[in-house]
Amino acid sequence: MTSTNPTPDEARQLLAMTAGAAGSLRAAGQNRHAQWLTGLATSTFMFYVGLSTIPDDGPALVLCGAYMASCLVLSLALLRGVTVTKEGMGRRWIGAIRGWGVAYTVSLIVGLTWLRESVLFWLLASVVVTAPLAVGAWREGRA
Amino acid sequence: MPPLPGSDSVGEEARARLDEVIHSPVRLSVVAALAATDEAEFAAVRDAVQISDSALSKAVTALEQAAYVAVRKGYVGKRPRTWLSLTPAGREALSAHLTALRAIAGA
Repeated sequence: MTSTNPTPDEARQLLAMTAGAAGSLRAAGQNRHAQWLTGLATSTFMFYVGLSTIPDDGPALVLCGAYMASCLVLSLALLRGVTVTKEGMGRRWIGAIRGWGVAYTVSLIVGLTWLRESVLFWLLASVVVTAPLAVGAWREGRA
Repeated sequence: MPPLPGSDSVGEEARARLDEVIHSPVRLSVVAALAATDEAEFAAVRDAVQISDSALSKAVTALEQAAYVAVRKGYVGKRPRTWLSLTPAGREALSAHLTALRAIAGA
C-alpha cells in the first residue's frame, strides 16, 4: 500500500495503522515515570506517618535515611534505561516534583522548628506533601 | 445556491496535501508512533512499528534529512543507545498529513 493516491478505504487503514503504532509505542514505556511518582508518593507518605510516631531525633534520622534509600532504589530500578518518554512527560513531571518540593520543604521547616511533637501536623503533612506526587502519577498514567 | 463540491474534488484537494516524505506506510508509522512521545529508544520504536533494524534505519535517515526526526546518541551504562524524537516540523507535517487522510477517508 504505497500509492500516493489512496482510496478512502486505504486512507482509513493508514489512519488505523498510525493509531496502532502510537498506542504500541506509548505502551512500550510501561509507564515507568508514573510508577516512579507512585513509589515516591508512597515512600513520602510512610516517611511522614513515621515522623508522626517518632519524637526522638535519632530514630527520625534512621527513618530519613530509609526514605532516601527508597528514593534511590526507585530511581535506579525505574528511571535508568527508560526507553520511552511519553509526550508532555517533562511538563507533568516538573509540575509534580515542584509541588512536592515546595510542600516537603515548607512542612519540614515548620514541623521540625515548631511542631515536632504534633502528630496531627505530621499526619496532615503526609497528605499534603504526597498529593502533588499522587496527582502527577495519575496524570502521567493517563497520558 | 452554488452546488456543493463533489466527493472527488474533496479527495483530490486532500491528496494534494499529502506529505510525500511521510506517506510511505513505514515512515508514517514511525512518525505517528514518535508523535505519542517526547523521545523513544530505537529498539522500542522498531518493536512498536514491527519492522527490522535496517528498515527503521532507512526510514529514520530519510526523516532526519527532511528534518522531521531528530536523532540523539548516548549510553545506558556502557551500552550505546539511540533515541529518536519528532521535531516541531515533523509534528506539523504529520498533523497536516493526517488531516488530509481523514478528508480522503471521509470523502
